[in-house]
Amino acid sequence: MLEIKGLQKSYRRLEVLRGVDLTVPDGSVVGIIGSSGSGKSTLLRCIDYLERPNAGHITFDDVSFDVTDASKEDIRYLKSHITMVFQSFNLFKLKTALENVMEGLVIVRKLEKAEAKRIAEHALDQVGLLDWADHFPNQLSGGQQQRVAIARALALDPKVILFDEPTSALDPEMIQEVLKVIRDVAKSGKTIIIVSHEMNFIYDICDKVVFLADGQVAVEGTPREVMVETDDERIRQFVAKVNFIDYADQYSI
Amino acid sequence: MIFTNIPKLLKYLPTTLEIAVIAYAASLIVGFLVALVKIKKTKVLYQIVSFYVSFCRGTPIIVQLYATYFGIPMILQLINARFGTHLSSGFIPNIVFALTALSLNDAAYSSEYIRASIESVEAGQREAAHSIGMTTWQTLRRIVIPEAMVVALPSLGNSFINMIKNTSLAFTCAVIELTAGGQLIAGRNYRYFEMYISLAIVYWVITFVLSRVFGLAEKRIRRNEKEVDRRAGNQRAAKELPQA
Repeated sequence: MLEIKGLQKSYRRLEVLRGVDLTVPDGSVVGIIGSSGSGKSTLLRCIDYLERPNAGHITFDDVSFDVTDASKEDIRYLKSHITMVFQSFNLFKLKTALENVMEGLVIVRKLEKAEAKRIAEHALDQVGLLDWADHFPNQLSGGQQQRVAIARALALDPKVILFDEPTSALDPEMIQEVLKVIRDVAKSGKTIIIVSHEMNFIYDICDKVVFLADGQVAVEGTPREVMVETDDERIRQFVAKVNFIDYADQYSI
Repeated sequence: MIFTNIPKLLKYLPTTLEIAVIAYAASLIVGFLVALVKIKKTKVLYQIVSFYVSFCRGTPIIVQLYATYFGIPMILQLINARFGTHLSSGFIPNIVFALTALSLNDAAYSSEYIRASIESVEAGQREAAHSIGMTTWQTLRRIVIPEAMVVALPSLGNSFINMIKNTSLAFTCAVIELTAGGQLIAGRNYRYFEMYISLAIVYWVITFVLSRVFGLAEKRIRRNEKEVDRRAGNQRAAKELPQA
């Protein structure tokens, strides 16, 4: 279980997160939505400690700390069990798909090469890219690169995987293959926090949806509560803008 | 005459290569540290290295060599006078003066190539490494440096070739390397012109071989641009095609 309380982050005078509370039970899939600039990505980056939050309290399993006096061990524990999948894939350019997936296993987890290779091949197989193991990122399509990136995260078997707009940088015809893989990961029981503009997908796979506005949680609840039944005007406008097809309405016509 | 000189010159080749290799290795280490200071913008250190780089790039290398050759003994004397020690520059081999000046001079230049190449690595590469739990040092060693090398290698190859040629100035510190050796030999029969042509050939052969070696190294490090066997992937793609 991951519990965040009062998380704040600002860049100089610009306050991006103004006290975010978020609870992520084990095995749940949490979607974060909101217009651009609302702090969605910053929230994920703070959870993975790619950015240092300015204030707040994080509880993760048995570890609980205030971000202002987090010890190195606390941060290491958090980082070693939380892995991010990025919008722009960020595969290591000079490494093959297989080496990309093996890197964390060999260097961070200190596994034997053979063992790491076995796990990495299994992870690549899960995303349907075992045949492409020896290809370099520049020889793969965007969708394939993102699937390798997901395999790289899966191989480390983290407790939580963060998806930061995983399909925003993709050509339209590649979005589905990536969403399918994410859906499989969600079904496997992995805890997921996902930031995405694919509203129908969020509606479909999430147990909980959080609507961020101005660096704060405006509304949270089940996808239905937040995206359909809400009477918050900001969400209504947002949902209308991002082409969300409300299934319930569709069928009732 | 020109070609019969060459075997006699080879006696001095090891000295030249020794100076070049050691000075270059030292230059890379110093250049890397200077680059890190410049990237991190560490207070005080940043001002010091900026001054150092500006000084080394703004003064002739021969002046730096003489300054080192005469300066180090004077600094030792100063230390002796101040602290009552008995350090003597007589025990320092001449080659050390040449190595110091040549490496510090080259490091000023290579620090700039290294800085630019490290900064050229996309931030996302580092973030991905951190996200899978790699430490800063692991990220630097496994991800950032190899990718930076792709950018830096042509410049670094160039600077090694420059270093080979600059070793010919080591005679200012009373080191007998290729050029100085050649001058000694030519002094016996006053055939200076032929000797300088022989020297030119020797230097050119060395640098030619080196530029080839660096070219190969570059190819090796750009391993992602190699043509790979795409058959496996294509077969799969074919399987996924809908049956007509």
